[in-house]
Amino acid sequence: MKDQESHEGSRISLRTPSIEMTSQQMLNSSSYPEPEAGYSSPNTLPTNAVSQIASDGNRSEPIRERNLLQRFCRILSVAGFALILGWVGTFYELKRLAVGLSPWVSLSSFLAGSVVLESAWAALTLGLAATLRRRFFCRWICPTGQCLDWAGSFGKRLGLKGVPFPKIGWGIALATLAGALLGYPLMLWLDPLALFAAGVQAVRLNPANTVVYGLLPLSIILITVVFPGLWCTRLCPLGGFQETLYSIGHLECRSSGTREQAKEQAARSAGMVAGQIEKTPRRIDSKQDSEDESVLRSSRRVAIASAGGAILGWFAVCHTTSSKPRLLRPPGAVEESVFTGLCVRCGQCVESCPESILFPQPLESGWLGWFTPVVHFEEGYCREGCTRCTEVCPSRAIGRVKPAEKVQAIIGFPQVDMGVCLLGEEAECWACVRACPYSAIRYEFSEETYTTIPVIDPRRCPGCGACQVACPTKPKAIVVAPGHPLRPVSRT
Amino acid sequence: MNRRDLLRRLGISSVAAVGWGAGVTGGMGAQTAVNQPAGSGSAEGSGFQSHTISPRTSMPHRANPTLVRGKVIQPQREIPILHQTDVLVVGGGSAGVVAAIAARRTGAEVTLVERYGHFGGLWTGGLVVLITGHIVKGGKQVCQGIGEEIMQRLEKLDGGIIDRRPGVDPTVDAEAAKYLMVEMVEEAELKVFLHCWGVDAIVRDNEVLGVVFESKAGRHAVLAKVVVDATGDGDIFATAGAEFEHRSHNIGLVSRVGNLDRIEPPPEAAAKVKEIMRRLGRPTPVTGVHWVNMRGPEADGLDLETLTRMELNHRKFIWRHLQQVRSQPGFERLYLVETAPQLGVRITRVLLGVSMVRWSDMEAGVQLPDVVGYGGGTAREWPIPYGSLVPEKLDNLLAAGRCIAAEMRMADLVRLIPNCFVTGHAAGVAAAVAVQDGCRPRDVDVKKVQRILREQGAYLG
Repeated sequence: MKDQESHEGSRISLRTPSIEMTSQQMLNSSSYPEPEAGYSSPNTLPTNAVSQIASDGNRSEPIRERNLLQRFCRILSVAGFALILGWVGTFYELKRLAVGLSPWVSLSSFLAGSVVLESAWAALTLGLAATLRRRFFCRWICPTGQCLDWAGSFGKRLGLKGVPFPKIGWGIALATLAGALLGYPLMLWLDPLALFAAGVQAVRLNPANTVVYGLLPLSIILITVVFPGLWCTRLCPLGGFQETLYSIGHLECRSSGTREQAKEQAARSAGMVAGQIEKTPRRIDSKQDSEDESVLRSSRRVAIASAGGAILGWFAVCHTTSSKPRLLRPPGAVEESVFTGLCVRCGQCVESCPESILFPQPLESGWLGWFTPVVHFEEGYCREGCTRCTEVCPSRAIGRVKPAEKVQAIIGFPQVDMGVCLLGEEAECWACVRACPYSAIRYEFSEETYTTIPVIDPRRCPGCGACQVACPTKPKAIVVAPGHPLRPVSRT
Repeated sequence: MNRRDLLRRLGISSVAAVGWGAGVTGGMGAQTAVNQPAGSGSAEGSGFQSHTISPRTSMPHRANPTLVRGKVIQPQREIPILHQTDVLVVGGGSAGVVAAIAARRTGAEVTLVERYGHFGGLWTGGLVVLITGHIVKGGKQVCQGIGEEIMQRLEKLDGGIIDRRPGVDPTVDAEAAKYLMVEMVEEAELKVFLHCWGVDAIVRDNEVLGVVFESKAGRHAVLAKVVVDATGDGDIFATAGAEFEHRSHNIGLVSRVGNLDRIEPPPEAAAKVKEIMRRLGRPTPVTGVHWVNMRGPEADGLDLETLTRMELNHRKFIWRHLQQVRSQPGFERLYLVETAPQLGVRITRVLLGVSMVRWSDMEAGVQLPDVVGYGGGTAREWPIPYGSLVPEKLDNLLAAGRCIAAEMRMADLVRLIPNCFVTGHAAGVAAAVAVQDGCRPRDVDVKKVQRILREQGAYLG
């Protein structure tokens, strides 16, 4: 490969000195600078240019057209995704499906949360497409890829170049899946669709949340500006996952046919540089090439990635289950031990909450739970019958809840401090009992002591926080605390 | 001073001297010595201000119930008509007094009847001296009109009201309030009957024509064009046959404790003192005197057994609790000023009206077409529709105060003192308008009622 690069690079430098290269083109050519020793030419390689140069005129035209078509599709997809994710009030189903399209997210949430997403069929289709067509999703659909394309070309215009960096996207994907098998998907939040959703929500949310949710997408954009193409080709776990799928899809070819055949078929199904490869004057060393084509190039690396992911996943699960519930999670949230892993940090739940009681908390949630949504009952409470956050969650970190079953979606349970409660001074306060939408609070009078205390029926109370909001004391006498009498503390 | 006066004075002092001497020497004997002259027929010349009104008489219009085959039967009898009026307000509590004054100011002839010897009902007699429920979030006061006038006038009385600042619930002195209401009732030139307990409605064809009252003078009827039921328990609409919801609520008994400015607890017991003080109520306009609320158990305020048990138990508890507090170091000087004359019955009967006070109306923030007032005590003001004062079927009667038609959670707000001012104001004006226009209260021109209410300073959004 490096031979090819340097060879072709020199040809470009001769004939077309300044050709813009997009990450899409880099994807097609896999021509992001290799970190391996012997890397000589710092110039990145524009595939279009190569094919144009290398092939005869009648071959270059369809490729150019296809590239234009791909670009058009992805621009359309950027608009479509932004519209669906950013649309106020409606398209709740679609919002969820939008991020759920990622086969990596779908598989992870299936492994970790044992749920089949509604978007699973679409994700499965895309996954299958990726086994047949190399990085099918990246080329035709990925809105993040298109945005990073633009960021990359901006960087190029500034004269910034890529640096050698190993491909680690497939490693991230595999490690996360291995972790998911043990109950904790490690880095699901690196999914490009989740990043795109977070970026869209960051624009729509209030300033504080904009900073939170904009941080990750923005840093990836910055990375791409500085190192054009780095994210898409080297880091993106969805890209790496697709390449893994592709490799799996072509393992058979490798074992049954010759390496030459495998390589050629791979190149052909990738649907681009076929002409280039055929016409390349010097044949590439077949071992090197197949290594580049196949992500599963070394069983050792695969083993390391999977084992590492599994160990980290196991460690994460142990870390979260050993501590008591400390946080109020949105209604329907899965167990805390899985929640921080399954949550893709897309910010859609925070944005969708009509009462604005969900907040991304970088500190409270511990180091594993950065930016995961927590509930704060300062301003509002979790409305009875409202299931918006559960509807928009793409990975089912917040499981689906039917409006009628909202009372079973436990957030926490109220604790009363009788040292503060106005009933302790016999005041005419009925605030919590009046506010409770589930009629779960009852005031119990004692004939002996002539005192009255609020008693909360755990069967009726999901910890919606209406009592806490209504409580007139400062500090609040009734506060919803994590945990619930009917839901025992998760195992240690 | 003439000779007779002198003799009379000497007579009093001599009797007092005898009494005093007997009191010192021999206990019970003193009682007989003092009582003897009073018991001996005519007081003429004895120096007592007691005279024979009628030497030998019996109750008029008697037709005693009698036992017929094991059942007590009340024979037919005539009830004398005591008075005839335009608007009859039954109940001189916070809602009734305001209703009577409002109806009078609207131009009707008004009669106000009260079961106790003072005005104010639970506000004064029940020692519910905290004015709460007139403010919404942001400090806006929704109780205006005559209710606000009462508070302003209390402010002018020395020791009438404290904490009267924007956004704060003030506390009144019950005696100041009683006095002020006497003043206002007299200014309004109302016909007043005290010590009359409304026991029955006079009804013909679903129309209330008046009310029968029980008193020391026996039964009397007052006839009226429109009756305002401000009894709190809805006694009149209930006896007239209107449908209502029978509810239970907490029943407590308020008391007042004195010398709270003279407690000298040891400084090391600060936490304990704080705990004790939490159950010693809130300040009143009288220095060192706190009013102590009691929530009490949830019970049926219409059940005689319950009411009796509550009274007995509550009084026992109040006394014993104070003794317990007094046993704490530094609290020895505390004393029980009084227990409220009236048991704190919060909600009993709630009218089933043409419409009702609804939580959803507050949430929606809608301007009801027949709004006659706004209540508070919540984050947002809640509208009181005119229909919540009007019984579903019964005519010539309007409800006011805590018994108007309201949802369960709203009834708890309707019952608060300032909200009773508001419903009383609305009922009074509407009753007077019905009399003036010669129509049934349910057919009253609500626009006119609203206009007059606004003229009288009421807040209608």
